[in-house]
Amino acid sequence: MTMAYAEALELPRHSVDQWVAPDRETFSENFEGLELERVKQLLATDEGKKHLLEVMDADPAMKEKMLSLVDRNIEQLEKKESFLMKVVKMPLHVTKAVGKTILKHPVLSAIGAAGIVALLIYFFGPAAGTVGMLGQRAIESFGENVLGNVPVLTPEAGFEAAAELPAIGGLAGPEALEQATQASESAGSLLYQNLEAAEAAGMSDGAMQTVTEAADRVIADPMLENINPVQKFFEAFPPQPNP
Amino acid sequence: MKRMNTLYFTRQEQELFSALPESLKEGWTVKSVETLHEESSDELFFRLRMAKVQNYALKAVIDSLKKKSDLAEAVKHIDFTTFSSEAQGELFFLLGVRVLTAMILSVLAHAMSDEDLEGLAGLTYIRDSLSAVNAPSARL
Repeated sequence: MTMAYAEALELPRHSVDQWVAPDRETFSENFEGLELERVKQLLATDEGKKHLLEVMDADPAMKEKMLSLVDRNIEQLEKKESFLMKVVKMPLHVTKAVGKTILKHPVLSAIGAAGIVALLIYFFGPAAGTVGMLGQRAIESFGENVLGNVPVLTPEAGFEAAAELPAIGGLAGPEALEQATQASESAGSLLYQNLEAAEAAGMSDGAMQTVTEAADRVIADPMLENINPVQKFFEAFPPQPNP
Repeated sequence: MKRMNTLYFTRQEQELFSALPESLKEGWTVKSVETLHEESSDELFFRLRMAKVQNYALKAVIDSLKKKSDLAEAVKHIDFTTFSSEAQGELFFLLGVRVLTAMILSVLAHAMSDEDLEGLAGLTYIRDSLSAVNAPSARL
């Protein structure tokens, strides 16, 4: 049942946001109070899967991906919990020393900052606050390169279809935006929000990719004294157009 | 105050460490790391989506950045010393093992003080912990 992460993340952004939980408490709230372990048990049987899909009110066409999303979330939550339990055991002065070391060494602070930019863009959108000239350029670039290929929507599909835009992947058809904007005011507004959400997901993954590339450069040459993945990201955008 | 004096180093890191002045190396214990379990890009993309941005320290930084007129400039002034261990955990879980390795190598290449090594001890401990949970055989 378990799919690759990339496949699970092909689900619409609103599904990902709704069902991918950052912690055990949120996860349990999502599943009407069921504990993570119970959901894990349910995922192991056909009856259990059926029950979960009912709770999730999942689109039948997407049920495998929805279950896989939950399965992957459980896997990552278990890893995260186990990791955080170890990290919080660090003595306070060591935590402080880590913070000071990141601050003191430009390469480390640049990489850490790029990770935070990825978070900022994903959760608050590319236009969160004002992202400055570089950010604006990135957004415009994204608009030219990706939003020109928005998903095929029909005016009839309106509201529901607008909500189904994938978080990543699945873009097609330049006529779609024009058609979709002919839909109702609320659908148009939602379309905009969803386009922005999809845009944010693509951009934040681009930012994460830039972090990895920066890390690779440092690994190849630890003597590097400066890198600027944030600027590189904003300059080197666009994000990958979807296949 | 409990001192954390173990450094978890790969072979390459041990070589860089051995090149440091004796006075700097004194008092530190090195443990060998044979295998690092890194995440795939897609796994990190998934972690990004499950980040707890409501964590107090992360939220404070993000809220502050949202108000800035130039993000690229503003991120240069993030104060990482305000990050609690939970916030560091959130960030490093998102960044992954490979990024931690880059950070460790960079500090090792420029280490000049005992404070640098104390930071390294924390970073190598964090990487070791993350690598352990990534290991296919990890019992969680």
